[in-house]
Amino acid sequence: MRIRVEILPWLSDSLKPGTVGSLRFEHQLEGRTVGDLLDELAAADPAFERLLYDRQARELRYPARAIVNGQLLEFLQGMDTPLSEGDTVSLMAAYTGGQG
Amino acid sequence: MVDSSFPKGYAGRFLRVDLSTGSLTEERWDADSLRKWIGGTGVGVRILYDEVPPSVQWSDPENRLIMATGPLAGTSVMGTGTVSFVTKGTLSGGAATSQANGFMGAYMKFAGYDAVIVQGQSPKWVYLYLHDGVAELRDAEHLLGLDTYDLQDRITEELGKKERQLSVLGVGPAGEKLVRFAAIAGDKGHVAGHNGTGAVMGSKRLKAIVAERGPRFPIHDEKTLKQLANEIIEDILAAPVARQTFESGTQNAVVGAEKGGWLPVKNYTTSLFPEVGRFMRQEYEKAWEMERMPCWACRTKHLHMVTIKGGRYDGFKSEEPEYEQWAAWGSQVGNTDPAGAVVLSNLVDRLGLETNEAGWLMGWVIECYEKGILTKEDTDGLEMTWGNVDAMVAMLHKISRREGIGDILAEGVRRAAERIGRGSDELAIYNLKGNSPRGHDHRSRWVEMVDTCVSDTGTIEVGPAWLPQEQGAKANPDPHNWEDVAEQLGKHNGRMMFEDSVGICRFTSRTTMEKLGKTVEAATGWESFTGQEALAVGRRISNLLRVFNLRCGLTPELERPSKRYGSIPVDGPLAGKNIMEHWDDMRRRYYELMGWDFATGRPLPETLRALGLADLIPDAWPEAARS
Repeated sequence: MRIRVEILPWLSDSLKPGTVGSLRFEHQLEGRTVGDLLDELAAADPAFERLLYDRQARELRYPARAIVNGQLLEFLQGMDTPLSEGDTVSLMAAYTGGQG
Repeated sequence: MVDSSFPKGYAGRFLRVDLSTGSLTEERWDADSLRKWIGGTGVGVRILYDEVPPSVQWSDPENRLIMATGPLAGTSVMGTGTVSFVTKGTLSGGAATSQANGFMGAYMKFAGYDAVIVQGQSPKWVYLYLHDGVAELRDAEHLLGLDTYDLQDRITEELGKKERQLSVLGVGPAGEKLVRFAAIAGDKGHVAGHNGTGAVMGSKRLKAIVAERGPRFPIHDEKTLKQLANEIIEDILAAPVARQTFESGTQNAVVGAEKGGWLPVKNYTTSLFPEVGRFMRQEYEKAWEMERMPCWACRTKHLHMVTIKGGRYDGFKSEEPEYEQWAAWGSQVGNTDPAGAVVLSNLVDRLGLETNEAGWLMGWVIECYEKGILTKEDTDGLEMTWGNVDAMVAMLHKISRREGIGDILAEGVRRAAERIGRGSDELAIYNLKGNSPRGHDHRSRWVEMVDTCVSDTGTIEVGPAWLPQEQGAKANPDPHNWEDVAEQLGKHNGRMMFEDSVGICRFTSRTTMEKLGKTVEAATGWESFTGQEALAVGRRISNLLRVFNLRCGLTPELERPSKRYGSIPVDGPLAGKNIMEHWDDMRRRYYELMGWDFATGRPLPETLRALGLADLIPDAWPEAARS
């Protein structure tokens, strides 16, 4: 099934240097869950694994978080959340703060 | 004369300015005390604690305003133009610590000073001029009414200098009128604004502090320091978040914030802002002129001057808004026009207002107006509707002059809501100590809501954990798990206070604590200055701040959000999720990790002893001291 993947700013430039905004692409998913999707993306791109996703631990690397169709992954079924044709999975940096 | 007891890395002078008498004196700090408190926030908080008893109010001449930087400021380490202001603040009733980047941290050292302690109240308006190891008070009566951009231009012209020869930090009209959330601003867009630093400066009739670039000061091991500076850049470029801030600043964080539910939209009435894409740099840079405007020794592509092209604001020039300014003057006030947000953001900096408090205030006024709590009569004829930039411009001017309803709004969100009443408090976003949060919807950023409420600085005290595992916390904390949130805060506390004491920007210090410690070692020559010692310095500062605030009446009951601030989002990714269900658990765990008593919020005697603060025990535990 085709899944829309969106890597948002604060993560996108690390994955693909020179990216200013979001990085968007479609992925033909062979598996069926969010964990499968991230495994496949990490297998295809070592930078994805190094920077955003720990395949062994099966978890996103801090501070990356995932949103599936507008809902936070931790409030769904985590990595076992099933995906359907046309779903959008967004990765963003859950990081705020700044100078005091 | 330069004090030889100061280690290398320091300019070697602390200056005390008594504005009541006009006296300027130099003071000594021994090397042991400097190693314990470093500089910047640490030095400032120690002086505040020792010299400002609880009976002194923020506007009293006896209050102190300390401007200090640290041993990294003005070095080859990237982003070391940072300076910290410490005082008794206006909003929280406790300590205020706030930092500005730009150039002051470097230039004040080049002019010969590490710290300036201001006390008293001048009979007439003056500014302080630091240059060539000399300090002078100069007349500033003719500068009254100038905004912070024009103030810099006028002083630069009067002194016959070029723009980057001077750093000028001062107050605009808001500070002159003692607006409670007035900021200290300068270097065209750099602000130390939290908890009313500008109001305190205004209360002393000090219009500005000016520092002139001069010769460098000695560094213990320049070669090693340069090598470490390069390593820090490599660390930044290797890490997501840090890299993108390096490459394109904070602006583009708006889109992730909206997606994650932490972009503040229309005063928390929704979490959805479909127009967010317009606020991305790659959109507006197609049309506007952008010119890099880096801080001292900074190689990032973070800050720019922008010139708007086309539309009703054609030709308007300003510093490019940062994330928090886009949030305040875009989504929070229901404004979908980035050009309008640039105009509002620039006006707030020029008037010398703190942008977060001003944004929460304006969104709250608009919601009150839309709901009929405030009428056109109340707002002196202004149509305070979502996105009405012209009305907001007029209202911000009224606030800065304390004119009409502006006099009430000049008190900040919490106090204005108390004055207006009529149910308006239900809509107001603040913590119960009295200050409003940073520019996010913290109902989706639990770590930062707790930080804001338990902080002793008047803004966040811990900040987001950078490399949480370095302090023994979980490497990948769940942002909505209360135990992870409390652990992240409790174990990471100290890092930010340390950074704010050495004189480095938050965005250029994203490396290990160990490496930050080594940079201090290279600058000063202090042997074995480890990351562990650096963290202990920061935690010492946090605990001193806590006891200062306890003396001023802080109780744990105040460490909570207002009703709207702690409400449940109605939409977005956190819809229906209630942080308040976990509040006391998070607070309990945080206190525990800090070594504080849950019932009173006081640091336990053993906590204070372990940090070398045994002298604070009688203040923290006065009953025990009396018995």
